[in-house]
Order: sequence, then C-alpha cells, then structure tokens
Amino acid sequence: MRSLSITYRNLYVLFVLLFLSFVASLICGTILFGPADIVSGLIVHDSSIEHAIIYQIRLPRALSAALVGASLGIAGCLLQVTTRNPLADPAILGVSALSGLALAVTTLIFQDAGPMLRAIACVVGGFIGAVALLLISRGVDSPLRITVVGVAIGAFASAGIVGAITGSRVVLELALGFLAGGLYGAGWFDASLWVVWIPAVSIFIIFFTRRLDNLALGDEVARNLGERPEMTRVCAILFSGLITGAAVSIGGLISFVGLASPHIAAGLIRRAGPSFYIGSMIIGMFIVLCADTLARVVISPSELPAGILTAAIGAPILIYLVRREL
Amino acid sequence: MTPRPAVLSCLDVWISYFDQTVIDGISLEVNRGELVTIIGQNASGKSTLLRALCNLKPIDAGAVYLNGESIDMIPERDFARQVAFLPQSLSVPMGLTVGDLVLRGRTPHYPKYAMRGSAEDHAEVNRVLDQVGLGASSDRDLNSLSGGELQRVWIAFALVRNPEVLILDEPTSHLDARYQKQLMELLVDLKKQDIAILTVLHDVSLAVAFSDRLIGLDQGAIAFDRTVKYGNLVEDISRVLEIDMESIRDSEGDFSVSPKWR
Repeated sequence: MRSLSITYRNLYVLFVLLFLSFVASLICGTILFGPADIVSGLIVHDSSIEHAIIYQIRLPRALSAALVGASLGIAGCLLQVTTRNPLADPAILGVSALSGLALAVTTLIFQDAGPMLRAIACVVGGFIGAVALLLISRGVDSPLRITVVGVAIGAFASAGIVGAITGSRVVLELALGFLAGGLYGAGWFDASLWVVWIPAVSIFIIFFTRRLDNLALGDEVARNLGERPEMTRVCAILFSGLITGAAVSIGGLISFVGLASPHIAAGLIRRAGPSFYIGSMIIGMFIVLCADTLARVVISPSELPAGILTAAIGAPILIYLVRREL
Repeated sequence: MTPRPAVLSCLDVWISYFDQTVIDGISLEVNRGELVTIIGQNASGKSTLLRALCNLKPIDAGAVYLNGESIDMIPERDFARQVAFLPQSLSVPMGLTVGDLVLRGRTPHYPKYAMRGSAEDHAEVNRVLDQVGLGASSDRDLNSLSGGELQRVWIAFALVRNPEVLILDEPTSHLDARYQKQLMELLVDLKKQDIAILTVLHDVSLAVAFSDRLIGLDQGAIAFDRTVKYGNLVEDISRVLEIDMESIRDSEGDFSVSPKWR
C-alpha cells in the first residue's frame, strides 16, 4: 500500500526531527552547551553549572514543551474528527480560553494558589469547556453550530479573563504570562504530568481510534457498523478538554498548534488510524519545542512568549490550509 | 417449492414528528434474492422508512423484523453484520485509500475491542473489490476515483460484512447513465447471490427496468406494492408520482417506463 510504507517512513522522519528539536532545546539558550556538556549535565548530579542549567531548567522545560505540543496535537485531532470541522481546535472552540478562565478565577479567589491547585483548575476548566461545548451545541452534529458555540464560549471566557485581570494585580501578573502562551518557568512539576499523560492517552488511542475512524464516515454509517458514534464523540470531546487543560496549565494559551498539527499529520501520514494521532502528537511536540527554543534564543538573554512564535508560524499555515482545502 | 421467509419485514410501522405523521402504518416484506425499489414523491417518507428498517430511526408504533426476530431484540453489532445501509449523501474522509474505506466495512466482524482487521478481513476486502470490478484499485486514493467508481467502493464497503440485506438510499443519484446502468447491473448480480436488496430510486425507468418489485409510497402510506409486470403499472406510478408516465413496449414484451415530459 502506498500509504503504509510512506506512512512509516514519514513517522520515522518525524521521530528523528522530534529528537533533534529536543536536543536543540537542551543545547540552546543564553549559554550554549556542547553535546558532552549535555551528557554530563544529565548524568552527573553535582553542583556544576551544566547540571544546574540542563537538568534543573532545560530538561524539564523541554519535557513540558513537548507535553504541551503533544496535548494540543491530539486535542486538535479529536475535535476535528468528532466535529467534522477541519478548522476545529481547542483555541477556536473556546476550550483553552475556558481553561484559562478557570485559572484566572482560581487565582482571584486563592491569591496564593500553588502549582498543584492551578494545574487542577486548568484541567477542570478545560473539562468544563468541553462539557459546555457539548451541552450548548446539543450533540454536536452540525459543524457550523459547534463552531459558533465554540467561538461564543471563547469570547465569554476571554471577557471573564479580562474581568479577572482588572480585579486583581496577582491575576494580571499571571495572565501576562499565560495569555501569550509560553513555557517560562516550566519545571519538573509540569514535566511530571507525563507520568499520568502517557497511560491515559495510550489507553484512549487504543480504545477509540477505530471508533473515531468510523465516526468520520458519518453518524448513520457508523451506527450501521454497530458503533455508538454519539458516545465516541462525547468521550473524545471530554478527553480533549482534559488534555487541553493540561496543556494550558503548563504553557498557557498557545494557539495554532491544535489547528495545524492534524492537518500536517494528514498531509505527511494519513488521516486515519493510530498513526494519525501519533503523527499529530509528534508534530505538535516538534512545533512547540522549536517555538520555545527560538523564543529563548532570539532576544537572549531575555525571552519571547513561545505562543507568539507558534502563532507566527501557524497563521501562514492556517491561511495556506484554508486556501487549499476550503 | 416452499415459500422462503422474508428476511426483512415490518408491520404497521408508524412514525411522526410532533403532530405530523411521516410513516402511516406501513407493512412490507423483502425476501432473499429480491430487488425491491421504493418510489414516491419528495417527502413521501421514503428515506425515513429506510432508516426505520435499519434501526437508525426510532419508530412510534409497529415493529421491524429481521428473519422473524424483532430488531429491538438484536444486539447492535449482530444487526450490523446482517443489514448494511448506505445513505444518499456519504462523507468521504480525506486521504483514505479504497482498501482503507472498504476495510472499515468489516468493523461489525471485529472483536469488540479490536483496533484493526485481521488477515481474513483483508482477504474479504480483496474479494469484494474484485466483485465490484475494482480489484486492482485497493491502493488508490478515494479522491482520485470517478463518481461511478466511488459508488462501487461504497457498495463494496457495504458488502464486505457479508450482509443478508442491503439497503440503499438513492444509490444512483450522482451517476451518469452509463454508471447508473453499471450499478444496477451490479445490484442484480448481488441479488442472485441471495442478498435482499431494498433501494429508493427517483429514476422510474431504472426502477422499472431492474427491480423485481416496486413499492409506491404516498404521504407515508403504501399506495401499491407490486411486481413489475406490464399490466396497470403506468397508471399506478402516475398516480403516486402525480405525473403522467408513458411506456414503450417492444415486440419481445420488454418495456420501459418514463415520465411524459411534454
């Protein structure tokens, strides 16, 4: 089959690119390290500057960036497949913004909220965003309706965030970071979310890939195959809310990754089967890792929000896709 | 010869939306090896009836039976193995090959939590693609197919589960005359393999030429349910479609029926 051999080759290339972008994010920064420094910084736990920077700062940050990209890449796939809308993504459908609103409100109420509470607030917020999307658009069988509902949810949440900012200085400081989206300050706490993420996403992909593939054929056809497309859709959208929340808790509102990754994966791999989700996940990781590395390097020793770079890269991709596909 | 039992039947099916009756007490049977076509005006309830028969539309009263068993009692996946349905408008996901799509039609045979098909499923895909005349096209991109080829791929998608009943909602609607004929001949081939086929067709001349039996639907009720013999066929069809029909009959007794356009 044309698709399978090229699919596996391209997946392999993507893995290599991912590895290179990961290594680059360890090497690059205000101080440039050589490969030998990287290895010793990772392995030798001493009070050296290599260990301090690479192991305590760059490695968890790279892992966090990858987690954000992977989450958005998968959430974008799930939303695009279940709503049959090629422009669906967590940002456009308001899920990210509602997650951000939950964070802002939590910070407003508990001024000294710790990282755990904030992370929980984001994940719960993403989940609420997904529930709102499902409830308000009543079953999500119309791509147009869900898009309009999503935009409305996003507008509401953004207004709420701005309201919370005007209400509190603490929220303002926090919001400056997460509104633009970026990995500033991401550490081992954020990176440790991988421990939960990997089994959850693996199980989800194993269980739902076939169901999602069949759902893409239309609800009636899927039901006539003995599937339960409504159930699949509800589960997939709720799950995308959870992982979007995880991404927001680490990287804030990083745009375009959820939108662009599935399209790039469809172009390079195929829009079906587990390789679609895995491909989109890797592409998301790659984009965010590159954006974060660039963000730290371009105006070093200061840094840009990575979200600005993903938007700068993603907007032309979006325009290209709209011109080509719609 | 003993009469063979109907594979799919319904009794006094009644469906309404709000206070409007859409299906008004319909009873019908479809037998193995039979090609039955439903005709009727737009909004006469044809598509609703098809969906009720394949358990996609809940019915308000009456019952639908598959091999004599009420379909409410049949588990979804068992039902899916036996009754294949293709709606009129089918969404083709981008970037799939012919083989990918047809393989998905095997889903009802998968173990419940299986992700993909077994070697046997792949063999079935190739067998069915041969059957619809697309044996060499398994690796082709769906977007590269002509309308006629795509429709045959969907037929293969429906057939690959080895159904007893094939239900098609206007399978020829986007096809030109040559492909329409090809598709109908394929359906005639399939019914000879003991599959029961129920279709909705808007093209009366196709319906008359290829069906064993015609069911005329008028405002949700059956106006006629008859074999395709010359008799008063033209009058029956004219009455249901509310348009004058004309027929041409040749010396061998073959005939065709079409609307009298002017």
